[in-house]
Amino acid sequence: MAAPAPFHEHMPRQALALAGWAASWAVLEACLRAGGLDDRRQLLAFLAGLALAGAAAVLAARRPLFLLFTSVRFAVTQGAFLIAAVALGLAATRLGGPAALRSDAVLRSLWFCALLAVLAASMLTVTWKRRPYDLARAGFLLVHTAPSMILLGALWGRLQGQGSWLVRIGCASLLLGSAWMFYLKPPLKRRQAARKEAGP
Amino acid sequence: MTLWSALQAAGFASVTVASALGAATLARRSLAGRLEPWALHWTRAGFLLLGGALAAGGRWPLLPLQQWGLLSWLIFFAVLHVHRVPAFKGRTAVVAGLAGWALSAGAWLGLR
Repeated sequence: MAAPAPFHEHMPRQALALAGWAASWAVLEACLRAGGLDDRRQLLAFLAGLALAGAAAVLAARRPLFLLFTSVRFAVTQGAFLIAAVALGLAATRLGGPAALRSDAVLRSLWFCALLAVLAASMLTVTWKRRPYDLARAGFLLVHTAPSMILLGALWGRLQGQGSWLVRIGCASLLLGSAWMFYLKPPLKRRQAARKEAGP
Repeated sequence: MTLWSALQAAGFASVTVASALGAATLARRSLAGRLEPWALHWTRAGFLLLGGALAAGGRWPLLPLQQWGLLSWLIFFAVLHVHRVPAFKGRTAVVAGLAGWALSAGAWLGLR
């Protein structure tokens, strides 16, 4: 019998883990709300909890976490999970579902922020893996650091009422980086290869 | 028409072209080698334009149509990463692209 795929390659188990992660933040959010904490304090508790969970995960399982966060399959699983969350929100809004499942509530919820935080952490880990940096990787680096900037800007905006500049820088990085990766780098690479073939 | 809605329309048109090319490769396997790179090219263009629409769209909480744009952007984020998994390259990636496009189109029809 073939050995089961490792966790960083096993998409159903990754989806279950993400469901557990989101569910634990949904429970925490409900507890914070029941405790009478306002939006700002909930966010501060979220950031503290995230820092603690991140530190504990890095101390306990640095290598498996590195493999997981740099796995393309995990990126697909995260994408699918976020799609399911937004689609659920849109469907609940359209069909008059429970208020907590409507898209406005989903996009502002701590569990959705926690999923975005995992996505941002994955992208930063992928960026770290690609060292040493050079001009050919500029697009990749811009694209993969942008979501962290957008998320930080959005959280800062909710805490302080400012931070949209960080979101704008993040969006600009995402667009410039994608344009570089998809359209500017390939012809440059081809030209370099042609020059190499032609010789000195 | 605002900038973000124009970008969104252009992005969705691009991924629609990509899906049509993907459907053609499924219908005729002999075309796969020629059409799949073009389908990926149009998916990338659509992803870029949908990202531009989100960036130009303003602050959260988003309007329903912008939320649909976020959903579509996430769908094509996943589709582009499916193309990067060696085991999914080819037919699976094309089917994922088509399923993503169908979900995006279905959500848009639902919002209307």
